[in-house]
Amino acid sequence: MTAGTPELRIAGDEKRAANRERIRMARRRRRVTMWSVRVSSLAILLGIWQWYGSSVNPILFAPPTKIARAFVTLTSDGTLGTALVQSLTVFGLGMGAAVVVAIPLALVWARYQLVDWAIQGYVNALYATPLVALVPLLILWFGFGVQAKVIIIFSFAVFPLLINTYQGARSVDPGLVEVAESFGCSELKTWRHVILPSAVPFIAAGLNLAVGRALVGMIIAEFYTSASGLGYMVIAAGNTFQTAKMFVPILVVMALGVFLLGVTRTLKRKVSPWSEQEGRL
Amino acid sequence: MGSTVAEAAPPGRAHAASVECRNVEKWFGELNVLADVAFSIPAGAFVSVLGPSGCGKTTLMRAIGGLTGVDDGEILVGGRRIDGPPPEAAIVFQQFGLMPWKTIYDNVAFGLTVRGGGSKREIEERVRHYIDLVHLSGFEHSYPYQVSGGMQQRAGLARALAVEPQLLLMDEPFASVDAMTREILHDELLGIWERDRRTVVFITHSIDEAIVLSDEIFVMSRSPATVVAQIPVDIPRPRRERTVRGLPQFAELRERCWDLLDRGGAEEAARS
Repeated sequence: MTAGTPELRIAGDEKRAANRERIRMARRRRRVTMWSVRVSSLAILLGIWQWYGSSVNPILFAPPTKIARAFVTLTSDGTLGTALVQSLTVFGLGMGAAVVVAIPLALVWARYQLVDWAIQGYVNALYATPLVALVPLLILWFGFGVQAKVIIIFSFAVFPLLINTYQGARSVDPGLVEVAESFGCSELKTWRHVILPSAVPFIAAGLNLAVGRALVGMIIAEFYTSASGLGYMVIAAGNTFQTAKMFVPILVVMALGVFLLGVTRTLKRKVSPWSEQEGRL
Repeated sequence: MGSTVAEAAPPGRAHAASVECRNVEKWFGELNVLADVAFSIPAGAFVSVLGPSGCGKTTLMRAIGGLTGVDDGEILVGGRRIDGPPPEAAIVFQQFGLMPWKTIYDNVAFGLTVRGGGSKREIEERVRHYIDLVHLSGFEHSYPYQVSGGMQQRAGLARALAVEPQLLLMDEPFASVDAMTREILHDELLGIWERDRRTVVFITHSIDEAIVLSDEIFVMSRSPATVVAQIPVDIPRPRRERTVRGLPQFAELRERCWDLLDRGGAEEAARS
């Protein structure tokens, strides 16, 4: 990399610096274009919404300004905050229970052939079943309280986690298991050093899927069980034809979904940076 | 460089183990992979097992490493019949076998950690020493995917050396790195080996590589594989690849190995 004379080296440095600057400028231009397109697209959408929302029957639709006003009202009287806390509580409990149950169970399932034969059919069948169909049954068994909501969310979240963790533990590189064996690893150490870490990206992907499904479960649970949470807010506002108020919890759930999926996607990237680079291995 | 590993080892402790195969036979279903393989490697020798691709030499190495059982005969490492991976041995794998979720440092420390190689400080000292030895200093915190293939295999070598094995099994370790890196790695391996002289069984399909590195070359025939010739390599040490390649013995040995491998090929052709 050393150029012959100092003059040549300086010239080279200058060219490199100029090149770096050019690349930086191109990136910035791209970012500016991206954000201006995004902002104008949002402005146009809101504009059309505002115009159309104001021109139809207010029972059917609401313009953004009215929704914003409803948002302020619901926030200041505490309704939205209470509902959000209620929803997040059952969501957290259901998701947490799914993680605690699914990951160890899937590892046992992946490890022992007998367990595999015993449960694989049921897991696949339940994963394929639209779980909404089971909600009335779950309500019959567990009532209308928090318990029923948590169980409904749990049943929505548990299957993607189970199946992904199982796949992860199964798809471990046999070469690496052999490496562990050659260094005299016990079964337990092989799990700790090889099988579990190689399942981590799968578990993170399962978590991503589970969060999406758990949100669906949460809203359905709140539709059908006792009066609480964001789902109930939607129903209550809808039943009384307060359309602007109905949009508020819908938009909050939307934002919650985007946020939680972003978190799990980032988590996946963070816990397994190598899996993003698989092609280079 | 400080003290070599041989000097560091407590006096009287053997740091190299002999290997003996007695009439080893191995079948994969109907396929006879190893037939009547018999040889003995004295402690501290560098032996290459040379054979065409797919002849069963990797199976032989896996058998010595205890990763696969044999159907007949027995294998002794350090005079003891093996049953599972012998604790005296460490393997350097063809595809490196590094854990992608561990840093270079943690990969090199892997063998020591799981074998319980002393206190945390002792492990750290040894890992640093071997990372230094294979010229990976400064890359301790990199992940395997962030470094080149040559550097990954240096880490694979350091991981095996770090457990200070009495027997080093190397399965075509340099087959997946580029030619220039390979030559550098040959010289480094020669330097490391010539200082502490552990027993090495080196699997390769490259005649040149076998000559440059070994004390003795075992030439294997194809299906079923058996050792057809044991050729001593009388080239003085210390060796370096470029010097060895310039010697008249190099060309002679090359011819001999080619003839032996060719004969195997001709027999194969005659049978089919």
